[in-house]
Amino acid sequence: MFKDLDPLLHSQLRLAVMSLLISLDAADFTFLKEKTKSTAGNLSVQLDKLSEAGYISIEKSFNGKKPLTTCRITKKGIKAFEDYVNSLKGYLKT
Amino acid sequence: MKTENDTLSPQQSLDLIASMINQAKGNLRDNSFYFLFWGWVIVGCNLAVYTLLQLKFEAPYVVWIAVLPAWLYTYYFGAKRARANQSTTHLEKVNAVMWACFGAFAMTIPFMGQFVNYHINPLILMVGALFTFTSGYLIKFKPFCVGAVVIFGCGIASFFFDHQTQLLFAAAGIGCGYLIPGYLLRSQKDV
Repeated sequence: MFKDLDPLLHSQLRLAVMSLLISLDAADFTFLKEKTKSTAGNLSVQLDKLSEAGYISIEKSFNGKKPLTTCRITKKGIKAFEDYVNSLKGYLKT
Repeated sequence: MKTENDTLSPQQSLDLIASMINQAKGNLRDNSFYFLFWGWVIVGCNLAVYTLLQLKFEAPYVVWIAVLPAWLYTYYFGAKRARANQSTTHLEKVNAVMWACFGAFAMTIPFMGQFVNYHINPLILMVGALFTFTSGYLIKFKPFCVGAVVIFGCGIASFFFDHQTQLLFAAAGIGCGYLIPGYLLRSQKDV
């Protein structure tokens, strides 16, 4: 039905992550997990998919002894998100 | 939240996007620290220089050295908060870069004093007012916009007074236009 919609974005959790990241300069894993109310395992898998597609960049570091995973949307991700929203608008008009 | 094989309608997708963007909004309370901290530093320095001038102290402007540790503390506080924060909004980043630019201006202009007849305080007030207005606009907090107009007015008015009186204008301008909105911001977010 929605064949023009990017399948990578047309998924609840990945779309939620991309919507958060488009509004932020950067967000860490815990923040994304809290806001999307997802499980760590599920979120981790979806972040990897977005990262492999080049839609987000993932930076791993440490805050003291605590591991920190920081995510940022990439230019490719912004373009994909914009295209996705434009396609949605098209569906809503028809 | 589900991931695969979940059929989202276009309307559900748009609702999800809107809801997430709404959740990503920044916390304004965190910004009040910078306004209050710098408000007190600048008011304190202006009043201290004025008092030392009244007491015929030889080098009253040495007080402005206090701005250097204040910058270092701001940098330390900002870096610490960035590490602790789980997210950073674009507006927070723009705001930080903007005030860093103002810092560069405020640090440079005293060395150019001879070219502006040593009207350093009025110039810093007027430029500071522009940044305060922009900050208020960015965080959608009108008291800062109103405060910026007060600071700008104090900047213009102080051109017509001697250097000593300019210090009082600066303290009054920052007190009314920067500190009061800073406390209003903090109290609003504490509720």
